[in-house]
Formats: sequence, C-alpha cells, structure tokens
Amino acid sequence: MSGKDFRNLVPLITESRLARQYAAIRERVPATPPPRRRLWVGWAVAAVLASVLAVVALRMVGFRGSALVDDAVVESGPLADGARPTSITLAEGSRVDLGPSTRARLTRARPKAIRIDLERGSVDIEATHVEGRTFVVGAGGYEVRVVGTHFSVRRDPGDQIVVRVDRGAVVVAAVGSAGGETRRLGAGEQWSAPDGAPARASAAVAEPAPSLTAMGEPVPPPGAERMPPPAATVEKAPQAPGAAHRDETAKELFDDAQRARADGRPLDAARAFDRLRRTYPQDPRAALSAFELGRLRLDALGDPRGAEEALRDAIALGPSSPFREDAESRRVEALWRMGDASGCASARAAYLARWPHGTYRRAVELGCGDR
Amino acid sequence: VRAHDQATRSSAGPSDAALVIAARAGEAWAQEALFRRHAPMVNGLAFRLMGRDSDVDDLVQDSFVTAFAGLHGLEDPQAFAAWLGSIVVRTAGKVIRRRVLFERLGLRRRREPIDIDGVAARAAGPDVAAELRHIYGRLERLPAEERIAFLLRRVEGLELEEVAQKMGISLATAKRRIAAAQQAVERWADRERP
Repeated sequence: MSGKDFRNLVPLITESRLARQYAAIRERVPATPPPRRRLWVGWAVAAVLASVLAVVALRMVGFRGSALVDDAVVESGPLADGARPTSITLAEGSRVDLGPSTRARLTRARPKAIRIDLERGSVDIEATHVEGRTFVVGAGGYEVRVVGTHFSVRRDPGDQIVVRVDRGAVVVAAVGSAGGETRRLGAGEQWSAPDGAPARASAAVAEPAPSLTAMGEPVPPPGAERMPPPAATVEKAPQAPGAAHRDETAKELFDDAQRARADGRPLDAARAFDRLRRTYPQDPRAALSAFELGRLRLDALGDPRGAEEALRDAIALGPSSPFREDAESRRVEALWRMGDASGCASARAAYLARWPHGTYRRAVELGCGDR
Repeated sequence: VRAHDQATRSSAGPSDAALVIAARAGEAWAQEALFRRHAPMVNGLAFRLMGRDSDVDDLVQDSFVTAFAGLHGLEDPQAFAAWLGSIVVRTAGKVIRRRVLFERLGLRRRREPIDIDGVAARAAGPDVAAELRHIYGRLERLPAEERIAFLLRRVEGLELEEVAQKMGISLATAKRRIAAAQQAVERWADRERP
C-alpha cells in the first residue's frame, strides 16, 4: 500500500456528460416490470377529505343554484399520486380544479361577477361563457380577467405567478392605483411574473369591471396599473391537447415526458415535466421533473431564463434530492447564458461553498467566464 | 483510502434501499436518482481502473446497465453502492480481456497506451504523480486480473479481503494476483533503470 490519497484521480465530469451517459443507459436497460400500484393512502384520504370539506362548506353557506356566496375559502391538501384534484363546479357551470396544497378565496360569487383570489397553489379553470358576467382570478398584485376559456393560474407567494391559457383568451392586469398596460394572452401562451405584491385584500375588491366585451377582445380595465414588462415574461406554452391531462397521474406524466424526450419531442417532454412539478409538488418525481425541465430548456429549447426558474424550483422541491448538486451546477450555467454575471457568480459561490470537492467543481469554477 | 466510497455523494434524501425498491417497481425516476447519486463514484473508479478518459463512458454505461438489469437479484438494497462497485470492477476486467483477445485475433487495432501524463496530471501533488507514473506506466503489460487486483490494492486502497470481495475471488487468489503484479512491476522497473 502506498498510503497516498488518489481521490483526485477522476475524469472531468460535467452534468452534460452524466446526462449523455444516462441517456445511453436508459436506452439499453430492459423494460422494467409493470409497477405495482402505489397506495398513497394517507394523501389520498387527505385529498378526498379536502374535497368533501370544500363542497360541504360551500353548501353550508348557501353556495347552490344562483345563490352564490362571497368570501368562502376553499383549500386542498397535498394531492396523492393518482388522486383526482379537488374540484368545484360553480352554479353557472364553470369548473375550478384546485391543485395540491392550494388555498383560494371565492371573494365574489354573483350571477354577474365571479372573483377568486388565489392565496397559494394553483387553480385550473374551465370557465363557461355567460353574457355580461365577469370572471376574475386575483393572484397577488395581478388579475386575470376572462370570458369563456380554459386557463390556469399558479401562485407561489413571494416567488412567482404563472398564468397559462389552453383555450380562449385572458387579460392579465396589474392591480393598484395607476391605470396602464395590460397583457392579453391567447391560447398556448404562458405568462409569469415575480410575486412581489401582497395579495389584494378581499374586502377591498371592487366590483370587477366588465373589461372584456367578447372573448379575445379585451378592453383594459379601469384602475389597472402599469404592468412591469422587464419582470414579466410571456412564452408560448406547449399546447395542451384539450383537457385530457386533467386525470393524468404523476407517473403517467413522467412516463409521457420520458417518451417524448426519447422520441425527439423536447417541447412535449418539457410540458409534461412542467405539469408534473406544478400539479404534484409532493410527488417524489417532482424535483427530478423540475431538474429535467431545466435541462431541456437549457440544452434543447434555448431558454436559459426558463431553465434557471425550473432549476431553482428543482432545488426548492428537493433540497435533499440526489439531483441537487446537478441542479445547482446547471443553474450556474443558466445564469451565465442569461447574461446575469452577478447571479452566476453568486450561484457559483453557493455551489463551491456547499460542495468544495463537488463532482462539477472544475466545471463550475470556469462557469462564469471570469476565471 | 477508499476513494470510491468517499466520492459517493451525500446520503441525504431517499436512502439507496428506498430507491432500489422503487426502481425495481419500474419507477424511472428512482433509477435515475440511483444513477445521479453514484455516477461520480463509478466515473472515478472507471477512470482509475482503465487509465484513460476515453474508456470511462463505455465502462460506466456497461456497469449501470448490468446493475439496473440485475436489481432484482440484489439481496440487500441498502448495499447498492458496494454491489455497484463490484460490478464496475468485474466489468472492467471483462472489457480489458475482451480487448486483448480482439487484438490478438486481429479484430481490433492496437489500443492506445494508457494516458500516463493525463492520469498523473489529475494527481494532487508531485509525489502522487510520480507514484501514478510508476503504477500506470507498467499496467498495460499485466493480465487483466492482476491489473485490476493491483489497482484495487494500490490505487483504491482496499484491504485484501475487500479486493477479493470486489473481484469475486478467494482471499488467497487475490493475494496471489496482487503479489504477481507487484513483482512484475518491480521487475520491469529494475530493467528500465539505467
């Protein structure tokens, strides 16, 4: 025995190299046996209970027929793998699906005005077209105004707000004192912005202005303040095939994403990973899905900003996951490609502090172009 | 020093046992998690056993494919890392033997020599680099079994029992192979001295 330490005798490993290795492995590994049905009994029971409680609560306060109620709070528990989302059908026919761990307030529920204020989590809405009725979803400092469409709003307090339109159109408007710019989103578009503003107090909500004359023909609502364009981003969201995804389980989404990626359809793969991480954040696949989404956006879709967001989400969803080091190293690259030199340096310092002898140490050290 | 164990990432998060069980059930995410967790260890071990960066990817892929295909045969799921290390060692031996055979049959052109400078350049200091030159400079001449045993002992720093276990051989055989390799290396070193 020499007694010498040969630990540094390793090849140059980059995350891209590991990704290539794993892609080759995945192609060669024999098909795995059909998975046994995982019984997330606890979560499933919690989700069902949440659904029942929400419905019962709404009925107890008179939410039936056209006798709608203001300020009812609906909540959902963590969604179990395979469980259906908590779903509420409003009297006028619109359907609201609550994502996992969601809390929303039915601020105004009148025949001519529906307003839902999203406090956290996500809502997926199939809004019916009712002549003269306004439908508004408030999320932090923004409002999403709609007449007859299918869209979703996700709010992570203090982090970001994401609006995605599958069919029809909505208008996103910042709420506040000054009037100004609004943003119209059509089918297949997704908008996001930092959640910097506090949630609008329900008591202060005014009667929503009839801001849409018809679907796709928005009129900027009075009182809407100027949107912050630099902070908000609009991107083409992969088009959802109708509402078929409503019942997809986390496993189905993950398998769909893997298949799409293997078939050379990175956009479809990204969509499935994105939906999985948002719909099932408690699922063990969520962190990996966010990480894979970041990789796809960075490597295949040329979207370093979106990649950085997804990689940040991967770290948040799985702070102890086996992918955290990979995600942090790729985040350094994403920030550099975004042109965010200070963010890159900061992410690099964080990586090196956490993993001074990390797998990607050498690659990360060179990652911000100034060494 | 057990470099391959130390290079394995933090055990934070799901245990190897949990990931193995999930992967056996067909969960692709668990399989990828196992790969991500242990890929650094396997890459390092593969590099040290083969002595060439260009050989690493094939050995890593072969090793993980073997491991994932044989997950159902792993009796102790928590022992995944040690089991995977054994697979890397045995796969490396097969790769080296296959190459030698193909070369003798004329089915493959003469392989490139071990990149001694490339290996030594990764060393932490001049004394380590010198020893690596001494070890890797003569490896090509050794039979695959002796080469692997020798590297596990001298570079990986494994105990004799661990070398035997990793290679799936008896302790006596491990000792014999290491001794034979050691003698051959010393003999060649003596001949090369001016």
